[in-house]
Amino acid sequence: MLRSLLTGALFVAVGFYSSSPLPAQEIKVQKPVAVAPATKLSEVFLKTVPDSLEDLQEIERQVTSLTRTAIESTVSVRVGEAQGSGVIIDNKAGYILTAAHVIGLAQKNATIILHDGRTLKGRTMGLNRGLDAGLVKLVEDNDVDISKLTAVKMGDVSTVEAGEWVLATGHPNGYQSGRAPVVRLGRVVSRKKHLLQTDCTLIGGDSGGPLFNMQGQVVGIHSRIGPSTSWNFHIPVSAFQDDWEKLVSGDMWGAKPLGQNAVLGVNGEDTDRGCKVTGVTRGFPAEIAGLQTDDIIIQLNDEKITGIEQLAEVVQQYKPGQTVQITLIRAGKNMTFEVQLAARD
Amino acid sequence: MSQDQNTRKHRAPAIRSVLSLLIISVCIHCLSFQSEAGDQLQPSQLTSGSQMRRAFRSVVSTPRSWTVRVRSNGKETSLGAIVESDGWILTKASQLEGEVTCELSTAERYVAEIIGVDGKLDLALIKIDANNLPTVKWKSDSDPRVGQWLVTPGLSMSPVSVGVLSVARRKIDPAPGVLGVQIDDADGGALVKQVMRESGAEEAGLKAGDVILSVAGEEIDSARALSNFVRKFLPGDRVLVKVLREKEEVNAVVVLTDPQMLIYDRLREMQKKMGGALSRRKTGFTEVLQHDTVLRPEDCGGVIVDLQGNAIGLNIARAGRTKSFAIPANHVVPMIQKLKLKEYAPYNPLKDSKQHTVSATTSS
Repeated sequence: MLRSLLTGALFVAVGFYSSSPLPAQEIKVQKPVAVAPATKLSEVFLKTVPDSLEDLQEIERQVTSLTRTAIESTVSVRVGEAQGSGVIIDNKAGYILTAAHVIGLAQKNATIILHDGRTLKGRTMGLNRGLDAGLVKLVEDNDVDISKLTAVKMGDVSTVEAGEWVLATGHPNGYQSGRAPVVRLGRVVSRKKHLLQTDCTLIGGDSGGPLFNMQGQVVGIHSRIGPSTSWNFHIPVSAFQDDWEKLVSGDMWGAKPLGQNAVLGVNGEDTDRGCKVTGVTRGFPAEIAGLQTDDIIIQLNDEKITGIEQLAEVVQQYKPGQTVQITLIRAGKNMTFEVQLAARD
Repeated sequence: MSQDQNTRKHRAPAIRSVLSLLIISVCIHCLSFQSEAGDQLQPSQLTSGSQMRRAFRSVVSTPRSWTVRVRSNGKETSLGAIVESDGWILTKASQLEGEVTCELSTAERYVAEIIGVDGKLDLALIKIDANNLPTVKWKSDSDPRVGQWLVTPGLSMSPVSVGVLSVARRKIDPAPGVLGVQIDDADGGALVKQVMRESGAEEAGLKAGDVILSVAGEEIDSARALSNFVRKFLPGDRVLVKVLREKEEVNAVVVLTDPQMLIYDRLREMQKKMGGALSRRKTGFTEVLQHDTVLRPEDCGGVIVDLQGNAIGLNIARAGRTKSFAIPANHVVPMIQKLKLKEYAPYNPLKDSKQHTVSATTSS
């Protein structure tokens, strides 16, 4: 099984981090995580691939019925230098789901731009850096009635299957005046516990934007991409549903802030002898040091390497900028390379 | 395995239960392996995968007969659309150079003549010597809705790619074109200090130490004059550059580059590459329909159709990982007659001096 090394994937937007966290304020809220009732979808959505014009028309009917709400609930989120997207899921309390790497820290001022260009103030709430889930709350505004904004519900990501049709919206390359949130249609490539992969193409600025199922419910939040156009990764909404109270109370938890995580830049698969390299990411340390596809990595400094996920964990024990020795087998011979780790940003 | 079976015959029941446990765990392993394999979508089932595109065959059965494969000097450069039955074909202008040929869906091949070029929309009208060809059925009365399928036919039974409308029509501001050189003042021109990697200047063979004397017939007397003049053109435009190299005058035709493509920054470089090659000219359009079709730059220039098989526009650029642009039909159709009447003659940088490409006069 080919697995992508997350640290080899590029983050869609660049988070901005500074100063230490401020104490979170206490807010009492209703948990808006009840799953919306699912309406029955047409048979075509159960097919592996549509196989007739009628099937395609049915998909088109369903997709075009969802786009308006999808677009209107999508916002641009700006915190300091970082710019990404988000989605309004509660127009009473004014909650917006986004990516942790877009907001960076809790209790920061945020600027929210609605689909039609109106601008509101927001405040960052909690974030799970490990999963890349972040929450923003809109601040009451004299000109904009928050309760009149379009909000969407979160769906049940546990029922999402490979092949399911999904709709992505967001602000690719950042907010552009006169351009509504950009719609992309795609399919779920795979669902892992903490990551959804689709072929809805994303780019910097989309981070934090919503992924909708064909019921119009949010099932994912855009997080990062890889080199192939079918490598688009989204945080499952369960990351928000499972820790809603913590996010609302402004907790920050999970992995170290991004940019402090070391990265090697390889994709690989597990083999009996070690981690077989299936791809090196251009411009990343592995490529610069001369690692190649089909190399089998067997050791990193003193640690024996047994597979791709274990390699990722070992790499995480180091800091960006540190040099490590990687021993590998190439064409039957053992070779050792010095690799200076880079920061994941 | 046979050994296990032998032992089972003679040993106590305890061993038998261990064995059955083993079998169960193996089955579970099989099951979980199967479900994992099924949990990963096959590449052919991706939105633009081969199985998916097959579903669109009836949509493109007629549109592919209007479509031609355009080659420049034998290399695939774009698709084209047959707009009149006696051999008139529209395609993307900035891709054309050298000898142009067209291949029809019937596999017939023709040499084409470039009749007219409009730099503003990046359209070229070319002519082949053929008759009774099927022609494009345009739909220009209304735009598709956001989320509607948009299908790009090629010459084959299945379309080359599919996607949906991402953004309603809008203007794309022009980016200035650049040669891709770092310059300084020099006697009677501009001195090339450095040629940037992957730039049009590098491709055309400009070298550090060259002194640029003129661009598109305009005499250059300083570094500032050069950059001010060149930025009037768009990326993808071709300009004749006259340089002084080792006391000899040398001519070079430089295809101008989008400055965005030259910024060396690891992340930007990576993002640029994340999603394949992009069109040289991808900005400065009056109006475009943005769709999410993953297209190769050489698959631009032909029609894009809705599920009814009506051409709603002409693909004009692969503009980024998430976006492709089509010129809406209502902008394309009026251009056909204008181009035919040679209102916009093709610009030949080697012959025409002191004349901008059309884009230069129409860009802001």
